[in-house]
Amino acid sequence: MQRTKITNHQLYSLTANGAFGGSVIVIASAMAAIAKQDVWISALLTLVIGMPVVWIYWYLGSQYPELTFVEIMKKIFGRWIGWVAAASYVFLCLTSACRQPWYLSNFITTQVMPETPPYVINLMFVTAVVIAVLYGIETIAHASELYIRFVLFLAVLTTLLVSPNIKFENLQPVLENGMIPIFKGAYVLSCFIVFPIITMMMVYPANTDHNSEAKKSLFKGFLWAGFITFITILMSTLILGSKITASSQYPTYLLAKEISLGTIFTRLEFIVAGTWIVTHFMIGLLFFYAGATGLSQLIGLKDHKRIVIPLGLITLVMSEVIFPDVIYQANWTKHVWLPYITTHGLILPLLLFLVDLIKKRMLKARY
Amino acid sequence: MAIVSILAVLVFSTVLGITEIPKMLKQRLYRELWTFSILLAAGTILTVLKSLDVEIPNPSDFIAWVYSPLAETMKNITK
Repeated sequence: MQRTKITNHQLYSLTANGAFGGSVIVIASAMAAIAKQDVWISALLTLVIGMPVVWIYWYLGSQYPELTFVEIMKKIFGRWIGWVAAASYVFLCLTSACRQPWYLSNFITTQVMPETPPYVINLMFVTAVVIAVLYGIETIAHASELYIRFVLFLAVLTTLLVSPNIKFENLQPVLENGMIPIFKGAYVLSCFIVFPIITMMMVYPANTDHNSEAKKSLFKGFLWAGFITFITILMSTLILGSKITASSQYPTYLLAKEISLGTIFTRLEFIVAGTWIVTHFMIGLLFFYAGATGLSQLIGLKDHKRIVIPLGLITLVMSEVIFPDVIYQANWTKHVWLPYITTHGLILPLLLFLVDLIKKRMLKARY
Repeated sequence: MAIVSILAVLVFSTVLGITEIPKMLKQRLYRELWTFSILLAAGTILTVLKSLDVEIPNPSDFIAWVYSPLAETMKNITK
């Protein structure tokens, strides 16, 4: 089957978007609750932890350059186990795609437009996602190239304009509780910026060419996302302190509220929120795209675009069912999302990697 | 409000069915046709149920049930 190919710069920007997408504005809060003032060390540690994980993703893709992740699973695990593993992966993508509009509408209805029904916001989000998937992966990749520049804007705003308010006392004392909380924080962060890159596996081996270049793009994208996350987390702790960061739901948004330079540069927080909405749209889109293409390959359809609109309708309805309220969401994210994404983002690729190695050894030994 | 959203989704799915199904029949994509119909019917039924405030089974609960043996470990990690 002929597949559209995307360039390496597009792969890089898609990876970066997929990695920090949903988390950049909220993650500092969960991190600060665990690692206190040492969150920035955890963020750096996550970059180190993420490298081998991204390497495994790249290796799996490089072995089967013409297949998507669902097909790779079927190939390595065999037909039946592969089908079950792929179905569970598709289920992850589709439920996560339902979750993204919830986050956005929750943010909008609590911070900006409290009287708007959340379904109105979800409807706009899902409509945009469906239209984007109907246009195809090339358009999505082009859009991500544009969005990645917005994020630079977010980084500049949150670093330069708030820097007069920095209090270095907020980072002290360093290593107060030892290394254990830092490792815990790094694990939590990697569940939000490293393991979700698994959704990229529906795009990366099948829709790219030049494999050695693709490796560079994947790593560059991941590092860029990690760097942005590091900056926002560091700045939140430096300015708000770990206590306020941990207790607020949207610390980066709160951070942008602190900007006041003269009388001109005030009330810039919605620019930050806007960039977050855009990147959030991208991660929702990636999840939905991976879910739709994965589902159509799972049941053997020729064209995934046929089922996108009904799938979008289901996503829209489920977006308000999936989390009844904020408390449910907070508990679910803490106790369920972490092991859930770890199974699919770390253990599943690791198993694939090992089974693939053993299979290749056995084949070699036979001849 | 319930009436509006039920009518809207019924109109939407009828229009979508009328425009999409003949295309697929013409191209003999029967597998696509089946998946499309099942998904569209599921989406319509879910919307109607949600508009009538019927409790819809939550997939998050199912995932939480699958990972419930790990809940204690996770509580320790995220403390």
